[in-house]
Order: sequence, then C-alpha cells, then structure tokens
Amino acid sequence: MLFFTLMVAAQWLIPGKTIWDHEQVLRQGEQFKFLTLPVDPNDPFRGKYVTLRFSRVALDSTILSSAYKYVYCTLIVDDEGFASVDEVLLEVPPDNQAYFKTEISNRKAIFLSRRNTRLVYPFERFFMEEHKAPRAEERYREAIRDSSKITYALVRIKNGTTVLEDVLIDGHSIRED
Amino acid sequence: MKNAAIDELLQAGVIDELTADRIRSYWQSKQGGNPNRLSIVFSVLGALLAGLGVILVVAHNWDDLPHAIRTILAFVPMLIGHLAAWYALKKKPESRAWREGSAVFLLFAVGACLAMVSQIYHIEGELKDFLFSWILLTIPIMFVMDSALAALFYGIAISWFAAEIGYFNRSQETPYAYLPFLGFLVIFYWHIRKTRPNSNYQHFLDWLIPLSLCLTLGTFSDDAPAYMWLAYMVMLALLYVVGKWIIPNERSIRANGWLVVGLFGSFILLFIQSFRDFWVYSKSMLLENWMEQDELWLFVGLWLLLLTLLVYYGRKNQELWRHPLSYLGIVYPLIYLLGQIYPLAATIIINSVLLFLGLFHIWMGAKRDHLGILNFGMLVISILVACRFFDTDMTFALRGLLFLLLGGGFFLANNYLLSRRKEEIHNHEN
Repeated sequence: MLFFTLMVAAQWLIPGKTIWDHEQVLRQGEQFKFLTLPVDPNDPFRGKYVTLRFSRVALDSTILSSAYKYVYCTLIVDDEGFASVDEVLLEVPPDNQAYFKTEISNRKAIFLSRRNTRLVYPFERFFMEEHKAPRAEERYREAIRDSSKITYALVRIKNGTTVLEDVLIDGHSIRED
Repeated sequence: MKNAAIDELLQAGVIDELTADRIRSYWQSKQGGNPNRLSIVFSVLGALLAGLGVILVVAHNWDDLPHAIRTILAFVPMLIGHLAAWYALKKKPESRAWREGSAVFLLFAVGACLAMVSQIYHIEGELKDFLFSWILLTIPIMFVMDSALAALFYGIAISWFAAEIGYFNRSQETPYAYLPFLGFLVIFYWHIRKTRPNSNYQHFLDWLIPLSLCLTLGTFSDDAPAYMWLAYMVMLALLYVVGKWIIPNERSIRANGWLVVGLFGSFILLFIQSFRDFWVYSKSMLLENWMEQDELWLFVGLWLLLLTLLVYYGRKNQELWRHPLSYLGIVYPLIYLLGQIYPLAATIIINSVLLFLGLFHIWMGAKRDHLGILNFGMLVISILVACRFFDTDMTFALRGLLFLLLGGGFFLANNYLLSRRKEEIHNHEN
C-alpha cells in the first residue's frame, strides 16, 4: 500500500501544484492588455477554444540560432494601455521588469531545409463552452472587419508566468452572449 | 464440450475410467484458477465508457460554474478512481476484473483532471505537454495495479507522444523522453512474461512494442533522413531476431508480433528498394558531414545491438541464425554503401535477396509442413514479379506466362503439401 499511497500523492500533487501556481498569478500578478486576432479550432481533450493571435515579433539572428528552448519577453505599454513585446532575451531580465517566459516555434520539414519561426505567446488559447465558442468567433470576425472595435486579451503576469483571464471586445467579455 | 469429448473417447475404448476422471479433474483445476474473462471484458468496457464519458463532460466546458467549484470538481473523477483502485487492492486483490477496470478508470480520470485544470486556467500547452504529464502519472498505475490494460493504453500514449513531437508538432524535435517511457513498458512486459506467460495480455504487448518502435524510430530523424533506411532495416532485423529469441518455436502468428512486424516490415522495405529509382534517388540524399549525423550513430547502435544479440544468444540458440534475415541485418550496410556508388548493382542484389527469401520460405514451409510459410514464400515471389511487371520492358506474352507459372506453382505447392499430410495421416491410422 506504500506504493499506492505514493501514486495517489503524485497524482494529486502535480495538478495541485499547477492550480496553486496559477492561482498565485491570478491573485498577485500584474494585469496587461494584449491586442488580438483570433481563429477557432477544436481540442478534443480540452473542449472548444478560441485561438488568439498577437502581433508578430521580429527575432534577431542571436535568438534564431540559439539552442535555448525558452526565451524571455519584456513588455512595453503604449499610451492607450496596450502591452506588446519590447525585447526578446535568452535569460531572465534583471530587476523588476515585467516579462513572460515562452518558446520559439521552429518548424523543420524532414526532407527540406525550410524554416518558419515565430514567437509563441503562452496565452494563445481561450477555452469556452463549446456552443459559445462559434458565436464568439463570429463576433471576433465582425470586430476585425470593423476597425472601430478593439479586441484584446486580459493577462495576469507574475515572475514570467502568465494566466489568461479574459478576452474582450470593446470592454465586453467574449463570454457574454 | 470437453466432457462430451471425454465421453466419446471413453465409449470408443480409447481411455479407461481412471484416465477419464484424471482428465476431468485436470480441466476443473485449470478453470478454477482462470479468471472469468467475460467479467473482465465487461468490467473494462464499463470503465472505458465511464472514462470516456468523463472526458466528454470535460470537453463540454463548465463556464457557468464558479471557478473554485470547477477546480474542486476536476478532482472528483480521480478521487473515485483512487477509491475504486484502493478497493480493488485491499478487498478484491484476486479479482483481475476489479484491478483492470479500476486501473483503466483511474487512468482516464487522471487524464481528465489534467485536462480540466488546464482548461480552467487556459493553460497554453501543446498536446505533447499534456501527454507527457498524463504518461508520467500513468506509470505508477501500471505497476501498482499490475494492470496490463493500463500498460496497453500507456504504450499507445507514449507512441502518440513521440509522434506528436517528432512528426506533428510545429518544432519537430526529437522525443528523447520516449526512451525512458519505453523502458518502463519493457520492464512491465518482462513482468507479464513471468507472471502471465502466453496470455492475451502478453500478446497485446508482443505487438504493441514492436509497432511502437516502428512508428517512432522515424521521429529520431533530424537532418539526415537517408540514414534512417539503414536504421530501419537493422531495427526490423533486430525485431525479427528478438521474436525468435524470446518466443521460440511458436507456430501461431498472432502470438509473435516481434517476428511478424520484423519480417513484414523488412519485406516492405526490400520491395521498395527493389526499384532502381530508389538507389538513384538515395544516392543524392547522402550528406558530406556523415560523422556529425545522429541518425548514423543511431543505426550503428542498433547494428551493434543486433550483432551482440546474434553472437551472444546465437551460441545457445542456433534458431537465431537459421533465417537469412538475421544475416541480412548484418550485411545490409554494405549493400547500402554499394548502392551509393553503383545503384544498379544494389538493385540486382536486393532483387536476388528477395527471390532467395521467397524460395527459402517455400522450402521452409514444405519442410515444416506449414502452409502459411509456404504460401508466404509464394506471395513474396508473386509480389516481386508484379513489381518487375511495372518497371521492366517484358512483353505482355512473357508477363502472362510468368503469372501463369506462378499461379500454377501456388496450386501445385499447396496440393503437394495437403496430399502429403493426408498420406501421413493415412499411414498413421494404419
């Protein structure tokens, strides 16, 4: 029964730690707004979600040629209060600069030498109730066509960890019908 | 049915009463030790359906519930799974149905918990990250519950994980984590071979592990895919030899997945290489910096493993050396290298090898009185002829004659074997 107890402990601890870490970010993290452009796919294990796309970040040769799996993105907030990526670094930024930790996607075709890299934002998926997601997607498409509408993601960040709180169109949550 | 057979033999005077009683006692003792397979099947089916139901509920999303309630509910299926597993271990330790059913349910409940937590917090993560965590938490389920079905799902999950990283993921990295995961599966497989030998559970894994290796070997390909041909040919020969080594003298194909996967996989690759275009194309795929290619060292490692197996175990088990595929795995690198310089020579050699292997199986089938092996040999030659049908300039008349000869050969060989069997039975009766 010792091994059974250890098994149960491990199976509670791992998701439990995830919850704890993310709750800390939600309660104590700084809030940022990121302008978005979405698409709507389906993840069979985790329900329907809206994929959010953010502005593409130019990556210099140092980042592209680096063997590091993770990079650290510092943020800059414009006059309208929207955040965007300022710098992409290979190490944790010094002092108390707001940043998030993420990966660079590096697609290598098996038989060709073509490469297609981009910065992966760690908050690109917003899970929704499956019947609401298509309607949300429809509202997004309308919002994109209408240049007066502003869509953005509300993200809490603490010590490089991000938690996506909500997605809004002109200040209204996408969850609202 | 067994009792009816015993009664028939008793009436015919083949066995006496004492022998009949002993046979009946023997069958009864076997049945007493055997678990009720139907109850295991229904138990697992019920657990699977319940588990899938949990997953579907997860996918529905629970936007209307408060955040805290959703978080608590995420753990409920896992709590139920743990209670069921505890009950199976403590109160029903001899019941295979309880062990397998509770293990499968717990496996899905753990997956559901991880999925729900990541959904509640909109955790950005690839499918590979989810699978990694799920696989990690499934390892103890397999061993603590001693569940072969959990091992089966685990084997599928690790193969999917490797494919997700190596083939489908945007980064297409190498799934090194697959290797220790596979190690755990092999350890469990060895445990099953000792505790439940020749069971269906072992046969599942006899197929799953070789198929998983075939699927995932390609994920270790990076910048030099040309060398993967070498790696695959050697690995398939290795699977064949392993099949001969760990499951010797087994006549049933379904019981030896290692051998079948190794054999059929080798033939598929050989048929592809029997076309001259393959050698012409592969010649251009070799890179200059061959010493720096991981795939080359992967192939070297597999080749050394094959050689070690053949030399060390081949001394005790001559059967390992009896099939030409064992030798092919060792000498294939030379054929491949030759093909880089003289494509036509390699084409001729491969076609000759295929012809020889076809004839060898026909001979072996006739010698062992095994229709399956004999017909397999005929099939190999038929496919070889069909392949050459498409890439040579034979006249239709000649092609037609060849197929007639092949068809006739099939008929004669089968007829000969069947009539020989009848003669042997007739001689035995007399």
